[in-house]
Amino acid sequence: MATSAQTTETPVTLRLSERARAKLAEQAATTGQDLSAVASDLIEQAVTRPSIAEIMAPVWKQVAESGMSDEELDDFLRSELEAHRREKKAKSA
Amino acid sequence: MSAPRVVYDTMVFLQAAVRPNRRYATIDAAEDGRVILCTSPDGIAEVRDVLTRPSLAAKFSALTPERVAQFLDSVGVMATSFSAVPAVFTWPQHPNDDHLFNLAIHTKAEYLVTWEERILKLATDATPAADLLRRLAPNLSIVTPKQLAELLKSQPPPTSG
Repeated sequence: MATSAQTTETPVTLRLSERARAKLAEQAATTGQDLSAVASDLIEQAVTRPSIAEIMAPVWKQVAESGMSDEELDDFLRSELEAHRREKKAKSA
Repeated sequence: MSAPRVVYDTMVFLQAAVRPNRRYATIDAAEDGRVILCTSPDGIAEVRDVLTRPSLAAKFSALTPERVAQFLDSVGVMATSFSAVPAVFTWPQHPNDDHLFNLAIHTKAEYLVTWEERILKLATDATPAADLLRRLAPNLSIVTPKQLAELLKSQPPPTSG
């Protein structure tokens, strides 16, 4: 929920599909808020949330500087995924 | 025309997290609504578990649990999550991939996106598992991220609704 100390009332008209409207109404019912509050919260999150590129930029820089090729990186990720699955299977056995 | 439903293989998310040039259209298309990305809590948990393994953090210190959580939060915002996915399909040779196929079947996805040769080959295999998959998901195509990018280029923009 948007909890910034200062907010400004900004009248807008939303044009939503039936699916989007139904989901909005569902969220409003679940959280006990009105539609405006839920829509405001979603807009606040959408426009202030950093993009994936912004979030992951430091990782992408490190990976680029590592000099690993696409194939080496894929092999590394795949081996980690397989190791994770083996460990998970062993734990549940 | 509505946007196609897609399911991404775990490796697609892992690659998207660490190297942007391997993403092709996958994440961007989900971000801007050209596809409806279908995920499951189990699938996202697997991505989180792998990205937060100590061996990855040892190699890439910027891959912190907080950053991984932010990445997955962003994926969660752009995706539709399905928590009750029936296990109607199994691939005896590769049961670890079952969750992907079952998600694709359950969500009636048009595309399962993967770089994995074994999964790509299943679309044309003449095995009992491949036959079962074609029966359960007759409209499903298995494509690479690069192929998805090409397919999306040739499709008209989706309409809402």
